[in-house]
Amino acid sequence: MNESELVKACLKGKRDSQKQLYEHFAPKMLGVCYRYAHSREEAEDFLQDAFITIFRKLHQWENRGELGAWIRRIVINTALNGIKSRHPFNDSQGGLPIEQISDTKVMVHPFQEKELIDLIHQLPTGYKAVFNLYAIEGYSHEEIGMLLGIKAATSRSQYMKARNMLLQKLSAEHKISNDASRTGRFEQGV
Amino acid sequence: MLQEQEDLNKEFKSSFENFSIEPSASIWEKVEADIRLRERKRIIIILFFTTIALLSGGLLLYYIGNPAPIQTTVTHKKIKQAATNTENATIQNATSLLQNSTLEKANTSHARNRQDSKYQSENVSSSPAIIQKTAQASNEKPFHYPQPQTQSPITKHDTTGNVVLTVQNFVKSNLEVQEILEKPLTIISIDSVPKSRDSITVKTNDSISTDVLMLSVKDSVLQNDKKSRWSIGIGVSPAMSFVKHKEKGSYQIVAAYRDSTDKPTVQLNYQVYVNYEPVPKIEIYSGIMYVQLSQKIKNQQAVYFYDSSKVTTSPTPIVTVHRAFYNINDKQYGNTLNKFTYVAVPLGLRYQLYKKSKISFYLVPEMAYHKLILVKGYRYDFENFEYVSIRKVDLKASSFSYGGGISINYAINNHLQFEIVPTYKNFSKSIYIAAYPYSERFQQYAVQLNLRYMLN
Repeated sequence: MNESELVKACLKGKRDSQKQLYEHFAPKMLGVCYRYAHSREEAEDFLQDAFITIFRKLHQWENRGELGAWIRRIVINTALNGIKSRHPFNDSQGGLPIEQISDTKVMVHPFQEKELIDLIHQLPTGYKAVFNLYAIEGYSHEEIGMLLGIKAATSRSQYMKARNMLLQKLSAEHKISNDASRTGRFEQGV
Repeated sequence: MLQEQEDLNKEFKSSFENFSIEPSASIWEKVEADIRLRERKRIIIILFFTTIALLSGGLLLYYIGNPAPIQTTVTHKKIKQAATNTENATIQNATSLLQNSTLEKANTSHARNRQDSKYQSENVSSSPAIIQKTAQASNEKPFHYPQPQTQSPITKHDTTGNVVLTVQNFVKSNLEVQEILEKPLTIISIDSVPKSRDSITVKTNDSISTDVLMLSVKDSVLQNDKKSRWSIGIGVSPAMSFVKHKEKGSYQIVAAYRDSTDKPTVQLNYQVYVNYEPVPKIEIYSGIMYVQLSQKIKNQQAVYFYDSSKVTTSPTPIVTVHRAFYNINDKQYGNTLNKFTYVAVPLGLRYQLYKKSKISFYLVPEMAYHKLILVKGYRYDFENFEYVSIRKVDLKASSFSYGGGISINYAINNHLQFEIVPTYKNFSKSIYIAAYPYSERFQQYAVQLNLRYMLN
């Protein structure tokens, strides 16, 4: 059954198809939610709200584009709304100034998802959302500004701070090194 | 530097490419519960409108099939005349016997009347009745019939043999009704009164008099007769509008954005209506409504063109070929109010669900025809990626809505009623013309506050 047939069956109210759609996308989407949430419980709340919205709006998909991308947008929007209501953003959230690790040649070693998730979770709420949206989802700062209700310049600044904080934490955990001669995935000039 | 930054982002992104967590089973259970709830709501809505359609159809057929006017007034005189003009000696005798009686006598001699079989003639020995007059109608001459021995009705015929009057005793105690009759009370049925097709039944819970037929026609029948009642109403409704966006073809992002950024707004609607009660418990109404639909949109709007043919694979987001921001009225912050004003003609039913004392509850389904009269605001121009003033030609000149509510009605006095009606109204089609690639369907929740004046 392709995506279009699956959606049609879901819209007809076939419970098996609805469950199939849920089971196909839920694990990956919970991974998305978990990057934005503060805890697994919160991520599951977001996932539940997102799938309720998905099934309510499934008739709007109408075979336009990829179903996974459409679902992912809803999940991200739901997660953002969730964190905005639970943990209001603050433009002036703390963090290290950009200059602190500027002019440092760093090398990033391969890292595990779990480690990176743990590091992302240590970021302040606003930074975490901006970092996720920009670095991982590929949104522009203008779009992020619109989604989060902040200025594009603020998004840019928060992304830089988030990235530097992450690099600093990775450095502390020996995932990056100032030694350019060591082998790594790539070099990053900050 | 930019390249390096992108490389780092790719590194992060690739780390999460296949990152997944198995959700707990309870999530699907909750999602499924929501799906079930919505299915139940859909079924209820379908049943509701099917019932309304059937009721409306039934009413229509009933009136098409019964064009004769309903006789709504039966006076004491008519019945008396019918009784006295007949050749039925028993009724004549009974009438004359009781013409000199007073109400007090009739009431106190109730038990005696029961045993007084001398009033039973050979013609009606199996079906006598008693008709008494109440204190309030004491200026009209009473006529009494003896206590019935059986349940067979008395019928009266005119010279051509047509039935002109039937009086029947129904011995039923503890029936509902009615403060309007004076005591002692009982049950009356009058069938086939000339030119009338309806029987009139008056019931009482007066345990003393349940076996005594009593007719205070002027007081009871008229007040019990609720047919052909007209009323007019006037009201104001604070109403909250919501919009459902939908884009056609390749436009998806604008709808998603607008869905999340539009704010509901409150406007005032006004209504004047005429209400007609053809049968007890059911009323039909129509009138004129001044309806305002509105939406509050952000002054800074995203403008996109979404090309579905260029969508990349998940998890990369949808490709936007064109995107920018547009500031309505050059304002980056705040909101703009779009307002659509209509004159509407509603057609609705009121079905009485419950009545106690001065309070009654009605189910009120309604459909309405709306004619656009005024528009103010901004719409998205998909060709030029900007927001432009909405013109009347961008919108459909008319539209239909359907919905309903529950009316809580309080009778201030015999003529004046106040009602509160929480209502829901849904517009079945977009307000924009079909050529427009973006549809907006309105829904409105309102609380009607009406004053009704009963005309008769």
